Amino acid sequence: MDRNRLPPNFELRETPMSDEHEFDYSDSTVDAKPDDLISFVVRCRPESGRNTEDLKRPLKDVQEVGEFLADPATLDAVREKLRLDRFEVFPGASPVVSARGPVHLFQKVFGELAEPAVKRVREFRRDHRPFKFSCVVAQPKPDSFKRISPKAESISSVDLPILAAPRTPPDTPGANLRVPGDIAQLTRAALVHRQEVRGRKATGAGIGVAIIDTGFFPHPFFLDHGYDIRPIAAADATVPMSDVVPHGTSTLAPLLACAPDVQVYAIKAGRNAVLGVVRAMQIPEVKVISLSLIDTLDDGQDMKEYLINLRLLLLQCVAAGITVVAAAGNERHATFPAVMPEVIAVGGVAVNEADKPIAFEGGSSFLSTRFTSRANPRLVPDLCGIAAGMLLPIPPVSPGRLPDWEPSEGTSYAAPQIAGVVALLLQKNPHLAPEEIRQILRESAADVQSGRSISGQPAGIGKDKATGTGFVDAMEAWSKVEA
Amino acid sequence: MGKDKQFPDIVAVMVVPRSRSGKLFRELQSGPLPPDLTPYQPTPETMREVRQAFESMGFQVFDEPLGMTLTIEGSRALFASAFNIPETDFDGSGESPEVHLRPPARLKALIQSISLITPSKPADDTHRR
Repeated sequence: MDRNRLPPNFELRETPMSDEHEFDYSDSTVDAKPDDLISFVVRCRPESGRNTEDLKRPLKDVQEVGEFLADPATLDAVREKLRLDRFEVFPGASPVVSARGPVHLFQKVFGELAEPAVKRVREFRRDHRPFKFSCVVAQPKPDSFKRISPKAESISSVDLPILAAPRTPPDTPGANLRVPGDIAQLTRAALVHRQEVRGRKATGAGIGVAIIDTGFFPHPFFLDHGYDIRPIAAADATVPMSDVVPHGTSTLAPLLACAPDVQVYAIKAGRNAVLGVVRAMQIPEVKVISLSLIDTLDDGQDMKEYLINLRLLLLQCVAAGITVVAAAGNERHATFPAVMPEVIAVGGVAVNEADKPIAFEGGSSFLSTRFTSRANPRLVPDLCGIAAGMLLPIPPVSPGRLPDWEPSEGTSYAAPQIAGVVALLLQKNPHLAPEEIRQILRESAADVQSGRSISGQPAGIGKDKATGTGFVDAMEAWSKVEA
Repeated sequence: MGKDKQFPDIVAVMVVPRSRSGKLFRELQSGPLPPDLTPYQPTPETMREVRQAFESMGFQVFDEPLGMTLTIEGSRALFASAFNIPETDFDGSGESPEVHLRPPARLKALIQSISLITPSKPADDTHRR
């Protein structure tokens, strides 16, 4: 457990919790004990005489911020007073002074409280292990701050933090593609986003996309962007926002890079992916299903019975007009469901420094006659999305850690890009059939002429075994669709 | 024993009840789909009987809309006791040898096959390189 990544004034400890709890987060409040620690800040009056309440309003100029800084001597005096009162005072160049101490000391120094001290508790569960954040908050009476310094303006306790991560991908060597911008630009979905469909931006609005995966953590990246993500559990799954593997959380970002205004039905699968598909089929708004969960299925290999079931359901989806997009995988084997000719099988490309796509060396490519004839074998992939060099959001990787970013690769992240592009096409023409969409995407893809897939098949001029018809070109595909 | 990271203690199997025509579910594993799936479906009575039998043993039972199979889930211990095989056989990671499950004696006449479900794996190379 890495405690260094938590603010110093918050406790994190394991706590017993019964198995009946099935939530990611739960907040509760209990009375604070006298020895519980309370963290607080003292704000000091600016030297300029400006009212710090003005900071809640827009500033005319960034330079104006200097007018809100307190005199360093005042800050030093406040720090010294708090130390003498036996509080722990935290260093830092700031217009406020941060400190903490036990509740009984806080009450002794600041007098009777306007609201009694309470302990807020936030519990969450990860990997079947319960954890707890706690924090004491109290509301001192007005003017109690004057006991510290005549130049103090307010005192307030610090409430529980919202778990946060870098809100944009950090600078990470080797992972130079960021969401949403780089993925939107390279797939040329960004160009589509500037077009209009029936008076609305062509960003996928009104199209429901189901993504069936391992769980979907509410990473701040998604919250900040205001994406419409609806986590749902399949019948045999629980807690859709828990992503223990982790995997599903990361698949959302490439999808939303390509179609930022789709309604995402983020379906957490249990053991049986069939039940995830069943859940997707129950949602009338779902027009696209993105699957980055795969099984190997070489020709001649006995097909597991639940895959037979999955095949039947996916065929039913396609027959009902739902476009199914599947990752080709990262195997030297044929994979299911990409092997099905009725789905759009998505392989991978990497993008070099000149923005040129090359076949992703870890992506699957194969021929199969399982569901077709020998004369007309199924070539996987149909086309490709970006599968390498991306920095994608991930849930906390261990208890107590914050959600983060991780260099990610695999066709798992290529498939959702294509699902996003499919949503753009369907927004323009909701009557497109899955097979028409597959044809449009294949015909409009940009040729990839170099690199090899994981099985050693080379990319070359025109359609090839490594990349199918090439790298998705969202704008070209969108242009081919009649509104 | 490598436990499945996501579902460490839960086992899922797919139960295929006998079809009304005697046709086998496995015939659907390749080739084009028959236009009429009815012959592959069990009668509603068979389906209900199989469902109730597993529910009474303590399993959680899930339907699928095609009406040909049931998914049953439960703990390793429950499966071990119901199917009379060692708990360790239910690794569930996909790395263990195929587990052969025989229907309980009283359900033999109603069930075509029972097979262990290993969760599909993420097509993600990040953690394998």
